[in-house]
Amino acid sequence: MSIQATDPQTVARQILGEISGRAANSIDASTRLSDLGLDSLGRLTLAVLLEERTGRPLPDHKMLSVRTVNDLERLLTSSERSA
Amino acid sequence: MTEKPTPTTSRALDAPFIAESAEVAPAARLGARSRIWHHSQVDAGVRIGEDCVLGKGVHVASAAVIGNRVKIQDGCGVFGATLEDGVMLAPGVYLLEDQAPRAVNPSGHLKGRKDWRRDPVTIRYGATIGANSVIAPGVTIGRYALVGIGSVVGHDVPDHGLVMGNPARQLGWSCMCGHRLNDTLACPSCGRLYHQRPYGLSLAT
Ligand SMILES: [Zn+2]
Repeated sequence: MSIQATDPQTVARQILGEISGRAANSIDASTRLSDLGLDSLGRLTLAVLLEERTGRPLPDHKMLSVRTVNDLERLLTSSERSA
Repeated sequence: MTEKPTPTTSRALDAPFIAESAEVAPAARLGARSRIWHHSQVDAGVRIGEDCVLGKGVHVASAAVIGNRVKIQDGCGVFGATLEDGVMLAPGVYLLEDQAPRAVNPSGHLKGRKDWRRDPVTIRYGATIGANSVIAPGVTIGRYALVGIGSVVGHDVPDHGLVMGNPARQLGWSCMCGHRLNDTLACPSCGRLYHQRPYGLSLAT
């Protein structure tokens, strides 16, 4: 297993890479989750892995509005600040 | 003497079908053209509407109320729930109704019919529950919601909500046609558009 990063951006892109099978460094802020081929199971996996690795809950209604990698990273940063 | 054709009254065509091995209590009500397949059991006090299909080995109990054009596939257990028209339960779904399930009461006696409070599930129009899912007592599943395979649903699901997992989480929205909506709440399959409402989505008009 690779070393796990802790900053939101790296964590998000690392997990998206694992789920989509794409290299994490090929994913940028404007990439849409749908472009990574994430279906409902992919989104479930994403939410669960993010919570596990950041140790912070991600409410469904907030995850629902996430369309791009940028949306996701902003959500993670805001949950980090409010923690 | 002229030969008359056998009268095919609509009444005969409309009679529900009950497989020989199924058990439907005489006090249960069963609507026109509904079909109850092998080894299914429908208890007294249950009401089932028209044009429903109960697959093999389904148990409908505890005064459940089922609307019209409802499909309940093999091996489901429906305990006291209300299912509106057009609901589908995939194989192996259980709808529970006891918040505090115990075999015995605190004094050690077997609990009977009056020792517990019913808190049944409600499934609204057109919703689908995926195979092997369990819905906790008192939960309401919204219109056209979609519960993914093998989910454990402990909270209400909004209209058109797409939920999955254990515990189930909302991962998106589903169209009337059964496909997942895209980021702009449009259906990539049939093109229908939706708007966000306080209770979930509704069709854009
Ligand atoms: Zn559609």
